Amino acid sequence: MSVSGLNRQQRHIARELATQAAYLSLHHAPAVHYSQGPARFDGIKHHLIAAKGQFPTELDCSASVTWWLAQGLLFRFKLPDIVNGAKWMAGYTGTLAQHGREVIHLRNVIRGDAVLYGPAPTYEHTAMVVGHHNGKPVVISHGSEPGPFLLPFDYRGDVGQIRRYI
Amino acid sequence: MPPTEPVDDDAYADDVADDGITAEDPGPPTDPKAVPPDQGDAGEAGAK
Repeated sequence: MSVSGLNRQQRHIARELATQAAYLSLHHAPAVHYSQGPARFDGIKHHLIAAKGQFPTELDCSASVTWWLAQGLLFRFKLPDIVNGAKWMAGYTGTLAQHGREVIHLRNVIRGDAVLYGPAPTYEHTAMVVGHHNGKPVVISHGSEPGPFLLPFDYRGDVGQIRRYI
Repeated sequence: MPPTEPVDDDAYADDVADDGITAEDPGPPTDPKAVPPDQGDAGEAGAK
């Protein structure tokens, strides 16, 4: 059984959609602001579909990762909130850490996995894997106003764990 | 809710293989030295 309960083909689609959404945010970085305010989950609230070129403009790191993952898990496959357990209306690194499953070995890390940074159990930052470059996972991270950025997964020295939700 | 069990290494061999075939190399990432420090997360307030 997969983490999400989706079959192999569905998981593939969910990873594609999540990655596509992350790149959409990356490519519109000047319009995507960093915010911990109440609008940070508007991308899900307003059902913004990355495949249609729609994207939210005020998010923090965890809201970004959640909106990216919601493209497949919620909008496409109508799953309950298996990412934060908050009915797709809220979440932060602490709830991300309480859901999904940890990926132990780096060789098994794939697109759509979330990297959690900082001290357990609540952590303080997250980013999502979008591929590999020279054999090393690469993430898109929205942790500051100039972001999102494409970065090596270990661009910070405090990688806590990597979790899978798809 | 406590964290669930880790992913079994073998359980996702298909996913790892699929992704390795279909995922494009994103290209060289940004130099981390050129990125400002992360500003943190909404914290527990974000859970509400």
